[in-house]
Amino acid sequence: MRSCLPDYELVAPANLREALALMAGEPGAWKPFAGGTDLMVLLEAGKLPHKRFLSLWHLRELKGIEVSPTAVTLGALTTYTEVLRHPVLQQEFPCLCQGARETGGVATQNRGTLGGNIANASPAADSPPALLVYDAELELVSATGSRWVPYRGFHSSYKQMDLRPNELIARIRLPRVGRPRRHYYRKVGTRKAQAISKVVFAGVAEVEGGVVRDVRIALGSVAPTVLRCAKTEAVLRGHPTVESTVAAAQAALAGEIAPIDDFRSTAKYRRRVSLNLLAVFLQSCLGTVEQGPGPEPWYGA
Amino acid sequence: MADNQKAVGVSVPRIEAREKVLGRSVYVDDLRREGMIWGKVVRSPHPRARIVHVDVTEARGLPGVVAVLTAADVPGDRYVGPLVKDQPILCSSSVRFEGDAVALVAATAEEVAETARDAVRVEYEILEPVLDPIAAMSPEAPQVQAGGNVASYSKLRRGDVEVGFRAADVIVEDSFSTQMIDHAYLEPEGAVAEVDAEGKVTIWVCSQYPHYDRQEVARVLGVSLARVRVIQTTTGGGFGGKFGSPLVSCYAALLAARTGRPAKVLYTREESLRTTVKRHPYRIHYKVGATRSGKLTAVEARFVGDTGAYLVVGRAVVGKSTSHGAGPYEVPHVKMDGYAVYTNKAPAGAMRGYGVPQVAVAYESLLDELARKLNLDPIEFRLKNVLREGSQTATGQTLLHSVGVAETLERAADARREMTPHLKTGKPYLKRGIGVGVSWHGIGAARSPSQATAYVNLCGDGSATVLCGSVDIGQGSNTLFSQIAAEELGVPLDQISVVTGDTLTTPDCEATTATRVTYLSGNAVRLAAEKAKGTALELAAKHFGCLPEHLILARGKVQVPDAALEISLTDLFKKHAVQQISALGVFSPDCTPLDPETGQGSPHATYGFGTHVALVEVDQETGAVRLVDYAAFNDVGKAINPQAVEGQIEGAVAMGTGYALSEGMIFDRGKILNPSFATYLLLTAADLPPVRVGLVEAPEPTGPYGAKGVGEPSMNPVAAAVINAIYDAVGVRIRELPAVPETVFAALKTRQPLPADR
Repeated sequence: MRSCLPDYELVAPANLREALALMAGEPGAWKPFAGGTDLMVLLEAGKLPHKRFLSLWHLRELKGIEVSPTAVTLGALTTYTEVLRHPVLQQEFPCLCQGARETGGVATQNRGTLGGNIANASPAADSPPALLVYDAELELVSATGSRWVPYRGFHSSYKQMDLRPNELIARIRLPRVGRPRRHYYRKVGTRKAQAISKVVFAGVAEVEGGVVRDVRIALGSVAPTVLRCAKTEAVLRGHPTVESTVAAAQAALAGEIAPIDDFRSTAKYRRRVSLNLLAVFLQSCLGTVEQGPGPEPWYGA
Repeated sequence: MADNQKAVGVSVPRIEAREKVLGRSVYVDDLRREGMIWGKVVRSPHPRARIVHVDVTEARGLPGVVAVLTAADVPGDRYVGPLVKDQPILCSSSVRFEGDAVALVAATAEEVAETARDAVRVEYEILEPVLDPIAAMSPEAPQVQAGGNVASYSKLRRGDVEVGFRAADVIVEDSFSTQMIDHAYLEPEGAVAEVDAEGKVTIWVCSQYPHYDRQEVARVLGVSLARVRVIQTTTGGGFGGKFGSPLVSCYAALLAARTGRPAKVLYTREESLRTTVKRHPYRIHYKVGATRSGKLTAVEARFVGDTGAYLVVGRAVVGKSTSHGAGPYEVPHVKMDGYAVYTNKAPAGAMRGYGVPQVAVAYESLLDELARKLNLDPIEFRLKNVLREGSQTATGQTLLHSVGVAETLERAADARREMTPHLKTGKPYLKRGIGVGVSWHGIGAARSPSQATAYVNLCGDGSATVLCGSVDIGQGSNTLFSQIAAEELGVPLDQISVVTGDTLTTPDCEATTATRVTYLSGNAVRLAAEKAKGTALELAAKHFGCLPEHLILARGKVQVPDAALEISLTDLFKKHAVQQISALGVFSPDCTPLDPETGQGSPHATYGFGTHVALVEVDQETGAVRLVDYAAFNDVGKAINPQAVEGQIEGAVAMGTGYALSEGMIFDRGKILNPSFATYLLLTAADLPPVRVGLVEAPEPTGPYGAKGVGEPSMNPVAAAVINAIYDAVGVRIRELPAVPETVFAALKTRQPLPADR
């Protein structure tokens, strides 16, 4: 059942300062509204709890992708389409581009934003596992100032995060590594577009002479939040990617994830597929298996 | 058409395409009437409950609310249904599925109507629902309907299967289940009703059968048929789901009759997915035997179709399964038993394929198993057994003409050869395979008599109007009628106007269902046009003093080709004081109904056939299946508008692949968990490869220009081809649709045990 539009109020401040002032005046009263691709689904379902919205869509301060020698910094309003078309991101952060490409459909990608995706805090979100493996940092701003926090640990529990009622996510910073890495991203859903994931896997590794020098692994849809898998990484770091290491890493991952049964999939399936994808990722680090099959760009953009 | 340009057999754009693309077509939701009110339906949240009390006081008191109706307010009959009147339009004593209607509210604004709907207080005594159709068949099961849970039983007996199985060298046997799916048309159900000064009711509704809607509205209002007019609005898809839209029509009519104001009732997507008819989920058991040389000897099957809370057309759907369950093959010994069973779920009704896709996927899976055991190629094995001209079907019908199934198989073999080089993936966990599915479908409903009627009015300038009751629901029949009339009358397409779907002016041609419109109504239009032309030629023959068969009608003129003489219709009509020539065309197919004890008879005048070939890729790490390539060969008799036929087939492949791989209503204790397109997963353009369509034309002598139909024959083999391709890729037999990644993954027994499972 559709919600009744006249019940809602939406304001569109002229600039970031005005937006933050409004939020400072009535903390928590105004729900930030960026691309609206999550909120509109709730509206259609009649399940949108908030009544007052703060449109961020025109805030230029939150847009744009900046590339410096040490980092790529994305405005929170960067859309998935902007992400997946950016040459530096394609080159150095391919998991993020792949995640953007697999989010919703083309319309969602044109309208949905990275900042909105983070703030929506879905454990099944497609891009956040990529942000986790790339050690993203978030700039959070309020009327009184700004702070940078690591994205890892930002989500404390289901739909909970380190974001105060008067704060907005302003920017996302990805440190550039400058060394060759292996990247692997895989989303498993029932269809190729417009699907909520059953499992999302992102992995990035530096391998030298068959030994894992460094590795980062993150998953979605297997825990109350998107999950960076530190224990699994620790098992792998400094070890050769031989069969026994793979098995040990799978055991560690099995202990780290906590998937559930829901109507999209089962805990058992999610667990086994997570472990399989870890194995495919590690084999890809050895170069015996190529990067997992991503969707072909079917929309010709 | 004149100048040797033909209208039939030529790809032409839909006559309404431009209007649709420009957004000018008028759908129900576009209709606004002066003083219109909005109706909303109060629905049960429980799959099975007794209604203890309905309190409408608060809802009635809300400002803007103009009506709150319950069963007691229905002036005429309270029950509707095309075969059995078992579905209450508003429930009074009990509810039988989650979404069953209990009350109807209307208000001056849609939002107010929603508030009023939520303000109706219904007290229920919740009862344990009947959910499993097999358990429901037990006499001890709680009764969904007073007459018992087994709603129908249909049989087919041919030869003696015991003898047939004794003659078999190899026998395969297995059980399968299929899921409940929705038609998922873009336009949900809706209707607008208005009462005029004389008290006559007009309904505008998106529907596949406005004359049936008229019957039910008249019964529910307790008025004569002539006092109800139903007009079909542009209909955004039907696929069987709008085989009549009696409930939504009745709701709008009740509100309009009660309040005297125009009333609109438009279902939301959630309401459409939760409460309107679905495809029957099936439990299927098959046993099939063949000789070492690859000849089928016997087929035995038992089907249980879950028809949900109300029968709708369940008896006929399951009947179609029993008559079609032996496939388009010669089988000497056949035994089929089919049951439609009531449960406390959304009612299942008609859906493209009508009981055939369910059984085709099971049967064709087993035919592949047989071929493997016999060490025969699956296509060659089928070719040894398929129906040919002169063959008898399992119902004992001898097919004399238009049996193009062997040709579809031969062309499928070529397509498979072309696909074979693409079986390699270069990745050890990605496996590809090719599968074939064959099926058939009788044209028209399996009963007798059945007929279609059309009028053609030929005007003095050579142009003509066609009036026919068969409605276009997006498949292109209005364009087809134009082509047929243009062909007969020798004018360009734009000289033909087609009027359909208005009960005041067009004859009742039965529903746009059962792949019947091209064959039945196309014939009626052709006969009417032919008759009108014949009358014109007779007038001209008198004028010229020759025989009518020496004359031709083209571009509004009658010509004597040998003598280079001509007269315009205008002059001819003036000369004979004729204003226009009106002609009636009636077509009734030659069929005999099935014997209820043996299932023997000739239920359909002709059959459509198809062989489809799917190339799939299975990811063994995740169980995900991807359709890589697809070729579809359908014997349509004659493609009157080839482009429209190709479109039908492409759509069928999308629908059938969704049936095979992703779609399904998900239930938790009788409640649907996924009533939205975000959670009910149709496949998208990203999931489907281009479909290679091959048209086979084995002409049907009784069809218009040899045409049969394609709507359902194109749907029936799809899931079978996809499921057989999965087996070919990874060697696992999927017995439960849909083959979602979890199902395929569980079936892949080859994986090493992983630490979590130890």
